[in-house]
Parts: sequence; C-alpha cells; structure tokens
Amino acid sequence: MSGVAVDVEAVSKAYRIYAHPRHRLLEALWRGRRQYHREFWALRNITFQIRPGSTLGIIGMNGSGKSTLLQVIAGIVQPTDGRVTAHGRIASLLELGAGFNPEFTGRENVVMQGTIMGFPPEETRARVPAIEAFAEIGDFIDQPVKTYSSGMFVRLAFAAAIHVDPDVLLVDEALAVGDAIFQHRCIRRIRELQDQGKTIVFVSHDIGTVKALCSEVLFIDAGEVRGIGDPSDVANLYHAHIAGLETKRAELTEPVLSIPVTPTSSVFRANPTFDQRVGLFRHGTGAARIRDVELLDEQLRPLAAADFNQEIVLRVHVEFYQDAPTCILGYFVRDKTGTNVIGTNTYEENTAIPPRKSGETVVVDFRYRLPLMPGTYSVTTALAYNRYSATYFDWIDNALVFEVLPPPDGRIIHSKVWLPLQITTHA
Amino acid sequence: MAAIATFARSLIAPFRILVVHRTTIEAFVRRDIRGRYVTSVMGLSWAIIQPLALLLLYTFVFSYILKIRFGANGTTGSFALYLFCGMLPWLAFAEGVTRSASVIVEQAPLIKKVVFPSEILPAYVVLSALVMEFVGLAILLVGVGLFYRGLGWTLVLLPVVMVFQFLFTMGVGWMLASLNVFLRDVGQVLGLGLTLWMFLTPIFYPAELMPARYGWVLYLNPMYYVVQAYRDVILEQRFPIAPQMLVLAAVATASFVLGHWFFRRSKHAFVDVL
Repeated sequence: MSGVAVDVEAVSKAYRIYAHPRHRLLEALWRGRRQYHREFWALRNITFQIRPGSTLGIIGMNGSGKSTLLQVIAGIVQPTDGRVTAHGRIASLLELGAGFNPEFTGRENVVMQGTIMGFPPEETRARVPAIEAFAEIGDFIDQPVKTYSSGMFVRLAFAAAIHVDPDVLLVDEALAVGDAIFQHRCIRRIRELQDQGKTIVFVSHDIGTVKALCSEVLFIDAGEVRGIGDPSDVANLYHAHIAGLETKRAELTEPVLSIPVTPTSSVFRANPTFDQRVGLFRHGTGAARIRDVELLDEQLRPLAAADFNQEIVLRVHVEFYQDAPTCILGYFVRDKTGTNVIGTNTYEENTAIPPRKSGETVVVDFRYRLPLMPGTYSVTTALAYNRYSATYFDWIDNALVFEVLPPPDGRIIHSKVWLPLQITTHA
Repeated sequence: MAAIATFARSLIAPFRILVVHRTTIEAFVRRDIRGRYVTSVMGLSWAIIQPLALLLLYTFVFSYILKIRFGANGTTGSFALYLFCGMLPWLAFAEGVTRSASVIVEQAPLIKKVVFPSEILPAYVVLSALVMEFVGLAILLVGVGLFYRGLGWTLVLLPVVMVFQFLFTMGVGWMLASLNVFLRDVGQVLGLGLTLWMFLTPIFYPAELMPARYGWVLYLNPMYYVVQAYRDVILEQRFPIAPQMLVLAAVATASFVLGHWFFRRSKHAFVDVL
C-alpha cells in the first residue's frame, strides 16, 4: 500500500436548510437563479491524512461535525468542496444494526448485513460461528431478532460489523454499548485489527477510549480542525477547550468576584477563571480563599486526564485575607454518584500548615496515586479553621473534574478502588 | 468522441449495476419475499390466494354484474382468464413502482449509515414484484391449459415481453424513488395516478371498446402494449404486433436508461435530505 490510507483534502460540507419543503422544489425549478435556502457549514476546509495501519481518533463535542466527517470519509456524504481519496476497502460502523430486519433470525440478518456491506454471502456465512461466539447470544442466533433484548441486539450487530475484513474501518461511538465486559472485548477486537495492520478511524466524545486506542487524535470543533497529533496533546487541548466553555458559561451566570491578586511566592498562583467557575459551589467565611486547584503529573506538569494508578499531584493554592494561627486543608475525590472515594487532610496526615498572616499565601501539594476505576471524578477541597469546629474559610465542591483512563494493558478494574495486593496460592 | 463514450456509458450503466450487484439484489429479493409471509400463519399460500381472490372479485363485478363479454367465446370462464392475463403484468408494474417510490425513504438507515449502492433498492422491489407475478402466471397457465385453448409455442416469447416490462417498470421505479425523496408528495399523487392509469389500460375491457377518437390514449400507453402482448402470446397463440413490440422495446429501454441516469445524478443528495 502507498503511504496514505485515507487522504482528506480541503473538505467542506454545506447543508442547505429550507424553511419549507416546497422551497426545495421552487429552487430546483428556478435552476439556481433564485436562492431559497440558507447554508449551514458542517465542515470547513478540513485537510489531513491517515497513514496505513494507524488509528485516528476524532474527538469533538456534540454537533462539532465529527460524525459528518466520518460519513464523508465513508463516502456516504458527498463533500461540497474538496476531495477524499481512500485506498483499499472501507467498512463503516456508523450505526449498529442498520438494515437489520426484526422479523428475521440473527443468522439471516448477519448474512444480510455482510451482503449489504458488499461481502459475498459464503464469506459472511463462514464468519457466523465467530460472530456468534463473540456476541454470546447462544441459540438466539436462530431466533427472530425482535425477540432479542436490546443488549443482545447490540452485541450481535457489533459482532457482525466488526468481523468483516476491511482495510479501513470507520467506527462511530458504537463502542459505548453493552456491559463493561463486552466493551472490553470490543476493545480487544479493535486491538487485534490494529495488530493486523488495519487502518481505523474512530469517532467518540469519550476521551478515555480515544486516548487508549488511538495513535493520533484529531480535535474538531464547529466544523474545523482545532488540533491533530499526539493523543495526550490533543486531549489536553480538548479539555482546555471544554474548560474554556465552562468558564464562559460561568461568566454568563455568575457575578465576577474581585479579589486582588497578590503574588507572594513563585509557586502560588491565583486563577481568576477558577473563581468564576467554582462560584456556585463554594461556601465559607471568606477570610481565606482557595484561589486555584491543579491536577499535575509526577513531574508537576498539568494533566488533563490521569492514567489508571498514575502518581499525581493535587496542588491547592490558598490566599489569606486575615491572620490564621491554625488551619487545615483537606480534599475528597468523589465519583459520579458523589461518594467520597479517597481523601484526607493536613491534620490527619500530621502536616501542619504554619501560621499565616493576612496577605500571605500557601500552596499545598497532595501527592498520591489514583488506583481508581476508570471514569469521571471530581475534587472537593476545603480549608477549615481547626479540627474542633465545623467552620470553614472556604469549601469548594467540583473544584476540579478529571478523568481516570482505562489501564493501557486492557485489564478490567472491577471495583471502585484497586489496592495493590499479593496473591499466594497453596496447592 | 468523448460525448459519445459518455453516452454509451450511461446506456450500459443501468445494466452493469444490475449485473455487478446481482448477489446483493438476489439476497434482497429473497428476504423481501420471505418477509412478506414469514410472520403469517398461512405463509406462502397467500401468494396464490391473493391474486385468485382479486380475480374472483373482478370477474364477479365485470362479467356477472356488468355483463361485459369478451374473450374467445364470451363465457364467464374465458373472461376470467382474459382479465387475469391483463391483470398480472399490471399488478407487478403497479406494485413495483409504488414500492420503489417509498423504498429509499423506508431504508433511510442504509442510505445514511452504510456505504451502499442505493440503485439496488428500487431494483429489488421491482424484481420482487416480478417474482410474485410468476406465481400468478403459473395459475394462469394451468387455467389456460385446462379450460382454454391450451398452451401454444408462442409462450417462448413471453420472457421477451417480460424483459421489456421489467425495463419499463425499473426506469419508472428509479425515477419515482428519487423524486419521492425530495418531493414526498409524489407518493400521494402516485396512488391516484396509478388508478387512473389502470382504467386507461384495457384490463377490464377489450381495447376495441375504447372509442376511436380516444384510441391515441392507448398508443401512448406502454402498459397497453405489454398487456396486449401477454394476451397474444398466452391466450391467442399468435405473435404480438411487431411495430408495437418495437415501440415497447424502445420505450422500455429509454425508460430504463433515463430512470437510472436520473437516479444516479440525484442519489448523492439523498443523504442530505433524509
């Protein structure tokens, strides 16, 4: 194969929006001399190349154009401008079970889907055992698809779609289906395809999966490429973009707090967008305030998403507006349901914060590992007066939201927290 | 030269598409025919019951109540065979174009989510209707063999007529399939139009009953040639009228090529509209 599997050259896609169906007819009758539509540009001037055997992730928010881009690559949607050249056979997995007929058995539908995708029936029929085993639906393979549970339907459709033999496979968020074990197996299958040297294009808004699977990531926003390259770099860009949007939203809803920034040490920093963002989630006397919370890697570089069990540093910047002879800083890491998964404070860990005077600052680093089930977590930080009273200088929920990515080796984390252990077997 | 080559290519294109995708089309036709009956208790017997019931109804109304007489000896039995012979190609045509008109919209998930030659969607519904026609045709031939003049050697011409019928239906089917994506009103107009067309085609009455001053209506109607040819080769055991056959061949091929041309030109916009 040549050096390029898919070549996307200056692709733009405009959709014509008509206020009424008859306007489309009128416009056709006027043969372009009158315009009844307004244009919506779903993609603007997109150029990139995919090398054979690589896996490209496309990330972006809802409506950013990533699915349209995939449809254009697949050849389903014709670009308004520009050109897509693909070398080799493309299979697209844009919707699970597209073309399944519920009245027919799983086996019939699988063979039919293969035929629709352009594979000879014998070839698909030969693959049915593998598909059946992958989907784990047992005897249901010979039952009408309408009798399937939604989980079975999705498993079969996915199994059928992924057991084809294309040169280029396009996958659209279809992985976000099935239970954890099935998802895990899907990822394995994708890795197998990667090992076989297949080119894969993978669209998702789940940054974790994209980072885990892709050799390159493209970030698209409002139909334009905002970044392409190394997964971590682009993921950080994406996170920064989302954080930026959150700040904008906060600006719209929250009055801006105006606390003077008085830098007193080189480490301390006050982040004005932080104040805006957490406005809703904070309470306390305000005699001292948390001015920023950062998630850093072990070398103190900013981190957008943490790997499973990665050593991280949670850095909390505090500024005092009154003298504080004692204070205790603590944090919680919470899961989606709001359960405190891990957390501690400076008192329990026997690390006293020295007395602070008004105008002074302190920066506290909590260094620990994140042996957490992959998913989204939030950080709550609080600065208390002392261990006896429940009064706080500042308490902030959702000071930081971060993600824990799946282990790169593909192992499943079955519990919320994983602790190192030693296993001994006695025969 | 280039223009001629392009023209030649668009002439061949619709034939090519059917040949290249024959396996897929066959799979679709199979599934479609099985799909008609897979959930019904009586299964495939409906394929026989339905045309027979229609035949009984039409015979009762036109022959018994309205006392229209035509056919070899003017009996009710020969009327039934005459009627049935004209009905079969018409029903296949009507079903083919009606379903073609809606098939793209119905199969929108395929259009939007799968790389897929959409030409084969109208093709499979037209062919499926044609396959169903064979069931009726078998009944007709048994009837003609037992109760009429018997089966003549002119039957060998029937496949030729059916090829023209298919080409014509396919062209109209492609055209309507594409139009209905952009103009959903087509589906509404079609039912009315087909009813009108059916009564303008001498199915329930002999062509001779058409007043002479409206005779031209018949000659503009390709389905009239088809119906006539069916009756000639099956019932009358004679050659179809040669000039009519030539016109039919030309019209059918033109419909096929133009319909496909129109479909192919517009199909890339389907996904933007669906």
